[in-house]
Amino acid sequence: MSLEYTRNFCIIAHIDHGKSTLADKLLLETHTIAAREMNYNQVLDNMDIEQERGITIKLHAIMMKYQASDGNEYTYNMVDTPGHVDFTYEVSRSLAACEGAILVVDATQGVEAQTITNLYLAIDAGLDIIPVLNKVDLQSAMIDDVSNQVIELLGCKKEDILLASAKAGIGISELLEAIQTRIPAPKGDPNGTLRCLIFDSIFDSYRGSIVYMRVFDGTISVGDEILFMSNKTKYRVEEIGTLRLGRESRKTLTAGDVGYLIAGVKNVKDTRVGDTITSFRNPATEPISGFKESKPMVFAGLYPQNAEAYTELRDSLDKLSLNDSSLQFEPETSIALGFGFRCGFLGLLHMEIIQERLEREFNQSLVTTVPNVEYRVITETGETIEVDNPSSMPAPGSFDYVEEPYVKAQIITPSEYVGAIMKLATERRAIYKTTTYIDATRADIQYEFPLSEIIFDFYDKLKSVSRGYASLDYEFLEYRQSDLVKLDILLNGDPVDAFSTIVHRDKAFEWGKKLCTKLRELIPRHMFEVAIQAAIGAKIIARESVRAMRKDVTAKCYGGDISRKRKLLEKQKEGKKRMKQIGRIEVPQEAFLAILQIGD
Amino acid sequence: MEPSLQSGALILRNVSLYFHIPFCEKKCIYCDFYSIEDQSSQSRFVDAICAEVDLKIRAYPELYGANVETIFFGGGTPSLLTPEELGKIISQIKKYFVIADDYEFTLECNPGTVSFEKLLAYRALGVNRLSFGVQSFHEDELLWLSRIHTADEARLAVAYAREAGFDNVNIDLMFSLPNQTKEKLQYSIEQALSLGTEHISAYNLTVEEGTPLNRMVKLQQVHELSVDDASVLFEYAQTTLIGSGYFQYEISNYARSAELKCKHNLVYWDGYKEYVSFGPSAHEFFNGERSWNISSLDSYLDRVHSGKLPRNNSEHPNESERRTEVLFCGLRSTGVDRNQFLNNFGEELGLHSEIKPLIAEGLLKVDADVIKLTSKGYRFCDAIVIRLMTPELISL
Repeated sequence: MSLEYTRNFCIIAHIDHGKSTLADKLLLETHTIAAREMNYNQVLDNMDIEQERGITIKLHAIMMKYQASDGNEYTYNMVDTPGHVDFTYEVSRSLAACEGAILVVDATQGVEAQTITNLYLAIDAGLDIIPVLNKVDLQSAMIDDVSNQVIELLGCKKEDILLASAKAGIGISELLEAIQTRIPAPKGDPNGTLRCLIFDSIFDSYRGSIVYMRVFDGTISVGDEILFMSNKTKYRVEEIGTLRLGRESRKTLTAGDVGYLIAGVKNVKDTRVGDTITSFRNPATEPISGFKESKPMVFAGLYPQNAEAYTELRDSLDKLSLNDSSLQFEPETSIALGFGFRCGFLGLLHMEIIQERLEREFNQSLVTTVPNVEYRVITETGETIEVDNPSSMPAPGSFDYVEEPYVKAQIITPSEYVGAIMKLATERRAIYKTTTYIDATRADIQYEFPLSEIIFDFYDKLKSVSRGYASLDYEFLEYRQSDLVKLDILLNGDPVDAFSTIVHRDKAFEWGKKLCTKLRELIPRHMFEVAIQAAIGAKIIARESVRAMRKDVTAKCYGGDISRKRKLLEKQKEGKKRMKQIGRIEVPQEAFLAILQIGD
Repeated sequence: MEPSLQSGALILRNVSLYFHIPFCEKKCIYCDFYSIEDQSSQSRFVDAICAEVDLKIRAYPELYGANVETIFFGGGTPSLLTPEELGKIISQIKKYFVIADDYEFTLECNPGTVSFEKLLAYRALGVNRLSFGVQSFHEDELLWLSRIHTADEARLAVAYAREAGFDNVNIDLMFSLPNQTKEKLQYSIEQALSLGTEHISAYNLTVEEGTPLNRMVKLQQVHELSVDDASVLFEYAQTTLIGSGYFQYEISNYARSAELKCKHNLVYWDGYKEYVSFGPSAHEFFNGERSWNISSLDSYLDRVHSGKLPRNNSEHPNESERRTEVLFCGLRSTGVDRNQFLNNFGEELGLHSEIKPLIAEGLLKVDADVIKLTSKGYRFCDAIVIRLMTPELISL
């Protein structure tokens, strides 16, 4: 395959701006897939959860053959990118595998923060951008306004913007032609030292880790001995090939190609996104730049509902992590919840996905604790202790100060919501940086936020104050000193470690009060009174109580009531399974996430 | 009662019979039993229920000659039956069954539908227990409940029963009506006590699905009493009745003495005993199967007319479902028999890990034979059953 006739590209779009539909249309138009194979589902998103949430989580790639108007056949490799703020690093690695990007903007919505972030990543990676306005056939399309936003962003000409409607099939052939003419062919030396970039890997229970990669230099063949540069592990190539709807094996892949590799690697953790594969005998001196260890930002305890399911949960997490190298977990013990795992996630969405997969695919009943960020406790001696679980926070007075992670956040919003967003940001301890206007109606506001303030419900709040129009993106900035305290919750006098949170001192009283009130609503009445207290150290700052239940009985039960009554009891019993027994108190699972439901 | 089939030397199968009489002068807002106000097909119905007895014996020949310990006519309003109609049904019973010497035969009466003559005739037919749906002695409450009788008519009905020779009479009372105060309940209970009936059933008003009351609650025209307020009334009824010489043998049932408990209802709460039922919507438990008739008089008449059992559906509870049934039936009344439980489910309930804490909380009493609720325990019956619902098989 000649480099000259290859194009590697990806699609950058905000959720719901039509990326998947557009991708499907490209596949149809190039006969990569027949309409009858398309089914209802979009091809690129092939996990249930992705489809339900309308977002792409895992990366994939697909190859198309395109007969261009210059009479030549081109090989197009379309590399998919995940579309959520939790996965910025993964996006950057996918972009690195390409020479060009299609920027899809919904003509009815305009540019969103996430699109901009990814666009900047693409520009930083030196990609050529083809801007596409999608949904131009809709009544509500604002073609001129959105075109101006794009021109402002890219510094392109109006003529450079393609108008399309993926749904209606408008502009698809123009786009296919533009890919050939506007995206450069890959560069690289087929005879040079082998360097391949891993942009994704998945786990197959028969074949081990299946690596998705882009060959930058050299040629790789079945039987070659290869080296993963980040951890210096050696493997032998069992199979390589290109990616159609399924895998198509080849004897060799060469510079410029996108494809897959199977080398008997037993664990996706050994085939890390961003790592470079080189030749074992003739290794490259430098890896492809940009590799980072993926670092979890959000932590939570996952506990089995029933203690007996601990081993099962561990096996399930093991299996999930085979497929998800960014999921981290280690055993932990909670006095309230027993044996479980402290898990690290890229973000809150990542956490929700893992939770849902554990529940749906692995049938696990989970109790999840309130997610938190990782704090740094600096001791008197200057030593740093990393704390990823509030209950392991050292006692006040035993350390010098605490640091928490800050992020750089970008919010794009129609200008009429700027005021409301600024108010919300202030409540969340944000530090305002700048506002720039993308066009007459859209503002781009830059903030620095404590990460802990946005991992909970900030995104939902942002959406609600802006009627869904504002969008958010953020990236890690640095650790900064903060006045943080540990807030404990006591039930009938006993502290429940799983309820402990770390909050800013200024907010502690209010949070304590709200948390107690929320728990009073959530904890059912028992045959005895349940006292709920919030405390900082030994000081009680709030108190509520759940009054004792005085009666729980059905008045009448005769011959005709027995079946019904039995079913009712069975249902109530089933409901109890969603309760965690802490001492004599039954606490519903959602109570452990009560803090997330506390309104501002 | 006139002798029926002759009992031979065989050990007879014991059974209880329930007859559902689906007619009412007026439907009460809270009632979810099947009944209709149109009484025009009452005589056809009586023929049909007699035919159903024939059909049942044909379907279950093993019922033939069974020993009937209790008979219960419920409804609806069984006291709408004329003595002739009741007599017809009783002849059918006698045609196929042996009536035990110490049988109990209860008929539910609406105080607004009885006369001395009628009760006298019922008595002559073998009815030996009457259950009056009195509910309240306040006119406003009776009106709100859409009862068709006054408090005086209720008093009179009990007097007629006495006069007709009934020495086993129950009255139903209902409490926790919306806005009901303790004083109002106190009056009704005092009035009931003054009548000196052998048995009092005192029910907490339950808002059942599909009733007019349920609609009123949903539309917020009526506000249910809070659980706390209702439990105050429950406790009040409990202490007052017990203090007046009645003893509580079920959540809502009180008798003057152990012999005066309602034997028929005890069959339901026994959890193991069999009962066979007739009439639309009637439920039975026989040969390990629970089945129930269709809840429509028209379909019922059609089905029986075409020679088919008017059954709607049935289920065969599995062992774990049976265990639950035995638990909640037993606990809500006279207790769970430990030996019988062990024999049926291979489990010594007395060793269940929840038993000790429940005793310590004052909710349960356990002796060598029976596990039963305390009077406080009665108030928490459902919660207690749930705690005991997971079987604990202790391997010996």
